[in-house]
This record gives sequence, structure tokens and C-alpha cells, in this order.
Amino acid sequence: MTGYVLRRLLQVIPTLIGITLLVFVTLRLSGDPIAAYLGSDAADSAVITPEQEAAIRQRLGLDRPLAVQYLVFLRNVARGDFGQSFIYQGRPAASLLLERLPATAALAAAALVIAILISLPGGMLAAVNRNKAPDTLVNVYSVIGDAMPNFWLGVMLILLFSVKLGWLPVSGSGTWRHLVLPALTLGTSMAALQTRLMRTGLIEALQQDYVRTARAKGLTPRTVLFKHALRNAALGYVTLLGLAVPGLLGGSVVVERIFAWPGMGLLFINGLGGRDMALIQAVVIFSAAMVILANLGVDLLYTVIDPRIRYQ
Amino acid sequence: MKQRYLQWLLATVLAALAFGNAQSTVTVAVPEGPPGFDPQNNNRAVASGIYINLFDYLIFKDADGAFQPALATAWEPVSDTAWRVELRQGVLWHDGAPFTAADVEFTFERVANDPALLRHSYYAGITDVEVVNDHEVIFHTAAPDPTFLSALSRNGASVIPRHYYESAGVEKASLEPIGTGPYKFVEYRTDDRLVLEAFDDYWGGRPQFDRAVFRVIPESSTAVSELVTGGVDIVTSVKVSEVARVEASSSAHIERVGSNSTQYITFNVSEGQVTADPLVRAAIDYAVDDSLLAEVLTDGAGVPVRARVSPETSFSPAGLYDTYLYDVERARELLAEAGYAAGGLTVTLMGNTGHADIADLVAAMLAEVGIGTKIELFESSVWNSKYWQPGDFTNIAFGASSDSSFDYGNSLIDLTCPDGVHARRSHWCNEEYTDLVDAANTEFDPVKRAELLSAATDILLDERPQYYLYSNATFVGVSDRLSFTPRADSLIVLAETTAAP
Repeated sequence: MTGYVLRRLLQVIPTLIGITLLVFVTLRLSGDPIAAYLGSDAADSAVITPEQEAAIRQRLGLDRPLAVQYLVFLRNVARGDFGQSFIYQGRPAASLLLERLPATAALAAAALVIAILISLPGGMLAAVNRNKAPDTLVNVYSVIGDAMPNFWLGVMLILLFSVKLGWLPVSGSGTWRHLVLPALTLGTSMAALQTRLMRTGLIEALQQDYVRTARAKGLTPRTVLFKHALRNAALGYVTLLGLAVPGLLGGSVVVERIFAWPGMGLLFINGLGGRDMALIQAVVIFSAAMVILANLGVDLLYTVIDPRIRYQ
Repeated sequence: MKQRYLQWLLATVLAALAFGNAQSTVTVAVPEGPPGFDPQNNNRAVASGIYINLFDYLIFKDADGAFQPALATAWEPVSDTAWRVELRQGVLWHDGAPFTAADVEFTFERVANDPALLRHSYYAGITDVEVVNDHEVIFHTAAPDPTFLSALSRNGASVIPRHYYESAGVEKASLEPIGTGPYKFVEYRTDDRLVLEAFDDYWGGRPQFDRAVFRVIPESSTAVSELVTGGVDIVTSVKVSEVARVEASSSAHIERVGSNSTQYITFNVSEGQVTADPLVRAAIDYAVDDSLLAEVLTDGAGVPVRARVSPETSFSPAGLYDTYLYDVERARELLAEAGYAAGGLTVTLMGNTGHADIADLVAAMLAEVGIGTKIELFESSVWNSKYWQPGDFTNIAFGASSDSSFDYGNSLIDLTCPDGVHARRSHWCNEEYTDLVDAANTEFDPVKRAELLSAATDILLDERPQYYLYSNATFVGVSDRLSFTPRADSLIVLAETTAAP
């Protein structure tokens, strides 16, 4: 088991290197970072002489050959230095990322809790009452929840709970009250898919022979559901939940924008807009590491849920 | 004993009163956060709008465009290439250090000598800042510069503290700024909130509000929701679609303000482009109804223009503001003259995804005169790298730009050859135009300068490397509890902001 985990962790390194290379190449192929730096529409008009442009290229390290730029970047990352963000006047990209991490983590955790609180009982309720009224209700919720764009839902929640009722702050961060609406927006849409997964998984499990056997043994429906069926139904549910976590940690761009939530999604978008290589790479490496770790976490969780699964 | 009890009672009551009289705060919603606080290494207008509360210029342009004393109290040219500037005495930096000529020398020599600073080009003409004494300097410029005072009062002209930059370093100075402005820095959570506190020793008098908070709210509808629920007091840019919601609220209103930001079309005039033919460019000018564009795209607040002019900009030539060419018949004649039968010409319209509406409208107008169109829009960073240089776009590009110096002569530099940013984009190089603009920008006689600028403008009107559509307007949402007047240069001057009477 330990050997398996170590092997998996070692696989992270080449994967991350591959990802950084991919990001580096695609970003550079699609345009010159200096253009985003100097040529934005919001910028005041000016004259930029070739000398000035050359000086800026030099300061930003963009005057070297691409391969050298990439290797220098890799060397620095190995030392824990992700480089300096040029759109944030030279601040270290890593410190910008760390500054955003708590806000992103708080939002992700809250959204996850909401998603689980809705989807777990919702899916169970639907599966147990298959084709009855509760099932229909849950299905209607899943379809609507999945179809509603986060953007629209966020704006509607603001209009209702903040503008109309005045119960919660419109946007920003700082207290738990600020967290409610963005977490609700993110959590309810996540819950829609998870509810369906739980429902389908559970319906399938409830039709298995071992469930019939358990029922025949005279076990209470509660024991059959929680002890026998639920564990087996949980595999698909846990897999997708695990995969959703890194997405949440990478920051939900739409939700962060609507609620002015200062997380990594906004940072990433600003970085992309400014073609800020250091910043983009820092966020991408972090997100990729999260995906890999979450995958590993899910795989390990399987052994807990299903004792038949063993890793060598 | 009784007396002591009374004293205690009095103290308690006073403390309670003080607590009840909480600090007054003004909160401003801005669409983007400042990148940091080095005013010389920033080219974002929003950030410059914020910096004015932390730093001072030497000379401040009032809302009417008149030069007012700020850190400078008097100024005069001593020769064609030298300006004597007297500095205000008794001014303190936020850390208590005195402001002197050494700070002015440091500020302008730094930006003039470091080409990697984004504001370098505005001050590249300064050859020396001569310190006469603690409160007097002489600026020496390479060439006569009639726009020099504008340069001292535009975005990027903030005076920065020598002692702090030298002792703490640029990195710290741009994270935790020290200025001479009406508010001092307390805290900045990047892209979230900037908190400032009134500076008791401000030379212009302590501002009315104890605290100023800038909140970064990228989404206009969210900012408006904050405004109508009292979460913020000022929203610096309200989308046209949100204006009605503010006006319908009982707690806030909209202030419309003109700007010198001009919406334009840039033509790629290089060989092989259909837009290389001036007749085609003229036909497009006549085919497009600028007034309708302004009406639809700015909710009637924009004004059609034929050049980058605005009433707030000095030396704007007369007769080109609030006017436009629109004559469908004339457009057809010009096309025929250029050798195109109806339907025989197709042009490509390019821009970023934000230009979708304007591109659709222009395409429909061109279709009216028989010009076919192809619209190609790009994600904005991809677009910037195509548009920036060497102007890698086909036929027609949409854009907008402003000029924080509010000097018409300055805004014409963009099209001078070879380094003007718009000249590079359009590949247009007209030596006569460049000479006229260069001459105007070294001419002190206002009459002669106006003549030179007018002659340069005539060339633009004739050749149309760019064709100007309308002057943008900004909608600012303001809480009714506040008296705040937005400015055409988008500076957010909180020192002049007070509680509504």
C-alpha cells in the first residue's frame, strides 16, 4: 500500500512537467505577452519606442530564447520560486497564489458540504421511492439544478436574499455571511449531478442479489439500505465528488466574479488576460497537483468503501 | 465620592457617544484592483483614478481643465527648454518626513531614465531636474515642450518619496505606499479591497471621511446591487443595461460624465489590403451612422465625433465634436469610383469579443451600401497581441483609447511615424503629418500651435488611417448620501467628496 502511494506520488513529477510545458507552448503560440502588457484597451495612449519595448522585454525576461525561458522557469520552480507576476508589478506569483488560497478553500469546502447535504439524502430518497412523488421531485431538482447557469443563479440569489430581503451581503468576503450565497450557488449546481449519481447507483445496488438475500434474512429496510446497498452505490458518487474538488480549488471563475470573491479563479483570469506566465503557471501547477492528489485520494478511499479493492 | 462617581459617569457617557459616532467611511466599487502602487509602472486608468487619493501631482487639473497648484505653488518657463517650479512648503509624507525638492528630482529622474517603466514615454523628454533649493527645482527638457504642464498633471505624474524608495526598495514601496495625498495606506488585499485612512496632516486639509475603502467588484450588476443596498457609495462604471436599475432605486442616482475616450475604427492601410485605398476608407466613413452607434451603444450618452476631440481637451479643433458624416448615396458613389460594383467588396471586421455589438451594427450599415463583411472576434489577450504590433489584422479593427493629458496635441502623437502606437497598428506613415505634430508639440505660441494641429487634423480627415466614431461617456452610480462629482479623466477624487447636504 505504502509502495503504491509512493509510486503514485512520484508519477506526479513528470505529469506536472508535461503540463507546464503544454501551458508554456500554447500560451506563447497564441500571442506575445508584451502585447497584453502594453497594448490593452484600458491603457492610456502613448508612444512606445523600440528601445522601450526592448527594455521591458529584458526586465520581464522575455528577451531570451523560448527554450531558455522555459528551462529557467523549471529550475526556479524546483527551488520553489514560481517567478514574478508582471501584471502585479513584480510580486512573486507564489505569494499571490497563497494569498488567495484561504478564500478559495473556504468557498470550496462550503460548496462541497452543501452539495453533499443535498445530494446524499436527495439521491437516497429518490432511489428508495423510485417512480413515486419524492423521486419525481428530486429528478425535477436535478434537471433544473444542472440546467441553471451559475451566473444566472448567482444574480438571482443576490436579487432575492440581498437586495429584496436584505438578509445577506451582496458580495465580498470576510464573514460567514459573505460565504453563504456563493457557496449556495456553487453547491446547488454541483449537488444536481451528484444527486442523480447517488440515485442511479443506489437503484442499481438495491436490485442486486445480495440485497434480496439481506431482505430475505429479515433485516430491517434501514439496515439493508445503509449497511448493504449504500456502500456499493457510493463508488461512482465518491469518484465524481473527488474529481470535483480540484475544480473547486482551481477557483470557480464565474461565481467568484459575480460575488467579487477574492479567490484563485479571478487571479487566474487576470493572469490569462495579461498573459502573465508566472501567475498562470503557478495556478496551473497548483490545480494540476490538486487533481492528481484528489485522484489518489479517491483511489485510496475505494479501499475503505469496498474492502475487495486492494493496491499492491 | 459623589464627584468621582459623576466623573466616571461623564467619562462613560462620552465614551459611549464616541463609540456611537462611528468612523465615517466612503466606499467605492471599482471594476479592477490596482496592480500595485508604483504609479510610474502602471498604465491602467482605474489604478490612476485611485492613486490620486494617496499621492499628489505637482500640478492638478481641475474639472474645467485649468491648472491648479498642488505640490507646486508656482511655475514659469525660464527658457524654451526649462521650467522653474516652486514647491509647496510644510508638506509631509504619510510617515512624517518632509517633502522636498529631492523627492521631485528622484521622481522625475527615475521615470525619465528607466525605459522599462510603463510611464517612461511621457517623461522621456526630461534631461535633468535641477534642485535649486529645498523648495525649488528647474526641469530641463531636450526640446521645447508646450505640453509640459499637462505631463505634470496626468496619470503617472504622482510624486513619490525618495527616502522610502531608497530605504525600503521598490518592491515594498509598491506594496505599502507612502504618499503626500489626502489618504494614507492601511491595507490592500489584492483584487479584493483597499483601505485608506484620512491623513490628519494633509496640506490641503483633512478630508471629510475618516476612511476610504475601494472594493474590487468586477461584475457591474453586483456593484449596482451593492449600491442600491448601501454596501458601496460610488460605482465608477455602471453598464448601460444597469443604469435604469440605479435610477429606479430610492437611495442612489446616476451621474453621466463625458470623457476623451474615443471609439474608433483603425484601417490596415498596408499594401494588399482593400482598405489601402483611401476611397474605400471614405466610403466606409460615409456608410456608417456614427450617431446611431452612439445612441445604441451608450444609451444616448456618447457623442459622435470626427476626430479624437472632446470639450475637456485643450487645443481640440472646433467643428469636429458632435458631428459626423453619413450619406449612403455618397458612400455608393465612392465605392463605384474605387472600382467596386455593389456586392463586389467584402471587408473583414476584427476586434475582441467585447466588440460584438458594434461589429454587428457596422456590418449591417455596410451591407446597406453593398459592402459585404466578415466578422472575426478574439479573446482579448489574443486580440491585443494581434492588434498591438505589427498590426496583424485584416482591413478593419475596432478600438477605443483615451489620453490622460487632455491635450489634443498629445493624443495626435499616437499616429506619428514610426513609433506612435496607432501608426504601427494601421501601418500608416505620413511624414507631413508627423512633422506637423512634432512642430505643434514644440510650439509655445498657442495660435501657431492650434494652426499646426488643425493642419495635422486635416490630413487625418483626408486620409483616415483611423476613423473616429463617437466619444464615450461613463455612467457613475452615486449614493444619495454623498456629494460626488465624477471627472472626465476618471480620477476618483475623494478629498473633494462630502456627505450630501
